[in-house]
Amino acid sequence: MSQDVPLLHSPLDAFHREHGARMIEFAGWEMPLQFSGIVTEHLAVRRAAGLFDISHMGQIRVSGKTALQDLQRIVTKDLAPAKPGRAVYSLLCNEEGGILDDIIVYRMAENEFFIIVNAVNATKDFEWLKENSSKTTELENLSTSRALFAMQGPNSSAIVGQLTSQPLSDLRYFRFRSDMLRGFPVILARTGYTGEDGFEISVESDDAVDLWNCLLEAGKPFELKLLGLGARDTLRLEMAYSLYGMEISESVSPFEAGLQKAVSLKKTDFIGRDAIIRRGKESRRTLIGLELLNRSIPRPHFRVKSGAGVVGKVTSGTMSPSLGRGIALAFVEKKFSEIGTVLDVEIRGVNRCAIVVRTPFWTPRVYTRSSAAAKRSASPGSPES
Amino acid sequence: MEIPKELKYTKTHEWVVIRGETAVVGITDFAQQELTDVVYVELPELGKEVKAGGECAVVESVKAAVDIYSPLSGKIVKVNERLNDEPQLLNSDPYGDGWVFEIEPSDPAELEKLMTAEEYQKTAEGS
Repeated sequence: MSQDVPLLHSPLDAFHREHGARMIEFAGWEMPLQFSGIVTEHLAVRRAAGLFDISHMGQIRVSGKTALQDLQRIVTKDLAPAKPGRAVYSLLCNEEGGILDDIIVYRMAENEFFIIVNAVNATKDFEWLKENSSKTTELENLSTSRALFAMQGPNSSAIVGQLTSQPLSDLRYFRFRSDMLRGFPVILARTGYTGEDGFEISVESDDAVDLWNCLLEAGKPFELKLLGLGARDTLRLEMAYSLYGMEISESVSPFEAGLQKAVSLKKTDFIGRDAIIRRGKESRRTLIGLELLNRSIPRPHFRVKSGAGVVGKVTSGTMSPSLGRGIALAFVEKKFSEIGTVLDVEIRGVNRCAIVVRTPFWTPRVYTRSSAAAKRSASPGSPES
Repeated sequence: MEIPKELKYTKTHEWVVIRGETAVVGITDFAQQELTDVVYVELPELGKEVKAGGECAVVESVKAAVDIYSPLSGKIVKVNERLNDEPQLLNSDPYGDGWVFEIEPSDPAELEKLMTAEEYQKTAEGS
């Protein structure tokens, strides 16, 4: 993004500043990095609940008589079996099998879809969708006219439940519905990026501040905390969820990144299919989870070594607030990817011992997604973006 | 923001105070607020000779790693081992239990080049 483009701001911008947010620039937006501190915010989601403003994320509506037909060619996952009310984690790939973005597709109706995309890719994705769609498919970029919130943590349903008249027990993991929260029309999805129970709520920008305040008020008895992007990153990393720009990018193909579940090879015709298969076979690297044995902290781009040889590179790393230890996702040569393999991460010139571990690094205590959890593979991935 | 009068300061947000033969070094209240939750401190090696302004330790928050520079030239004679298990002392008590290392200064005149509390206050407010 060039420097003379003004930064975008969420409808909650003034609220964030009044509530002590430390703001950062992210993908052309100015958003909260943290409020009370990353560790406190992180642990609030693991133990109680937290509320993120993720209005920077892109929201795109796709409709028209050819909407399904076009999307089936564009996204990697088969959307045909998804009934209205289902959310699907998928990828957009180019002809070379490189990942353009990871997205969530909500099936609203037979030929109506609502797609959540990464902020950094919102314009690129919209153009890509347009380029690859028929004239009879209508595309609307709602990224700045709608806000998006994420309520995450074991207390989430107790909080959101106070604002809707419909029972939340009907809304299972990766389902969504149109709902009214305290009279504000929303798309309410049982999804998230933290591994905990929770909701993502899309709302008209004009209603964003009022709904946000209702959610905060309802959260008071449930230890709800305000969250920033710092905690969002540590929470997703403990779950080994990929982040666009770190684990995945146009130079990475889905199987290398452990995203088999986001690709339906049974679907015979979609952009990048042949290249995805070929690159999956040819690729010599794979994404793994590493846990450091002492307290030092791996960071992106640090080298992963076996003896004197460099065998890979860290894509994301942090001190895990839940485990109190350094964790990382890293691309390594396949032969070093076995669980239990002892490797080194070079941290400021010193080799620090690390072990290849099963991911996610952290298993949430309140995990209400038995079916989804059972299906999840041991490899890193991301059910959402 | 707390800036004790009796200490000397660097532009890179370290503080130093002479205690007998040695000088005690830590990071300022301003620095710990900027860093937020400190989760790891890589202490300097004992006996290591350092130059004024040279990198000698690393403090890490969840988000980032920053270097600590020695305010004075000399030899590292003591490090705060408690920080290995309680790095958060840098947040809770940056001028007390959160001290980082002690140095035996080779050129005590260097102390005069450092900032007073008033001077540091202006620097911190301007950054």
